[in-house]
Amino acid sequence: MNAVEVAVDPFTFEVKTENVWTIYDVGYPVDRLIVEGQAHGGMSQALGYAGLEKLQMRGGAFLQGNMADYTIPTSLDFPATRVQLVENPYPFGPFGAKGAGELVFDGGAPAFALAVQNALGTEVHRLPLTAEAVMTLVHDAGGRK
Amino acid sequence: MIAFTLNGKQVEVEADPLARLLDVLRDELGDTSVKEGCGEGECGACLVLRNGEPLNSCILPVGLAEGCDIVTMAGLRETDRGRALIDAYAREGAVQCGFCIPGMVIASEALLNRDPNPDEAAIRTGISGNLCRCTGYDLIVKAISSAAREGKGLW
Repeated sequence: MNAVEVAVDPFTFEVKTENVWTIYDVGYPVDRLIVEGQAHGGMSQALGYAGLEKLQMRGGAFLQGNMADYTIPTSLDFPATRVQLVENPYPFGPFGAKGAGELVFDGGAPAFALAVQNALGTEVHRLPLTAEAVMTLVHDAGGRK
Repeated sequence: MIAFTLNGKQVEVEADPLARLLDVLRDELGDTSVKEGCGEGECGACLVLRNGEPLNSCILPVGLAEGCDIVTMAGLRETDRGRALIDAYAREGAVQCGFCIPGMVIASEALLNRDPNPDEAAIRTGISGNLCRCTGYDLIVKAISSAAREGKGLW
């Protein structure tokens, strides 16, 4: 389960992430430190995908060619994620474990998009929600509310 | 000949002064603790200290290392401060794939040298020039805070 709280600036249309929570059931976490670390990292990637990482293609080539214009999150872009694991030993897995891997990447972006949708009162169908994308959404919905 | 100090030892290399310090460190001097990420000064994986200042060695011509004191992860790990940082990173689980970590630890050392007792905002600013894709930053921030606490007096 993933929850994201955002604030949208009505003048610059920038989205500021205020709080992030994640709770996962991975059965029994065999190495808790690594599973929690995976959760932090997965959420960081998910939020980058949701809010920053614009990737466009023209004529079969990507327009974003380096780390300066394909911007992944830095340490300053998002607040710390609060991670919790539900210990729920899985009888069919080794040592009660299920997989964790990319599970941690899946929920962050939809949670971020829904948070922005709630803030704007406008449906969101596209990522990433950069300031330009949010401005376009607000404009298409008939202006500032 | 370009002469500088690498991790406390005097070294001399025959190199084009415009060669990247990163390549000279890795290929000529065998110090592979310095990693190449983006190769254009964006990601911080190749961070080294030059006279205590953190710089991306992928965009630093080796000529500008002449007469300077260069410190990399290979040298830092042999010091008490380096060990305190390594222990803290391990304790907090701040390493997933690990590729950014040598640069992160160098950035941590530079930060703690400036500010031995940084708060979360100061730590986040201190490592903001280092990109990490898979650990995220939360546990790295915790590790630096833990190193500052446990290694009190080292910085």
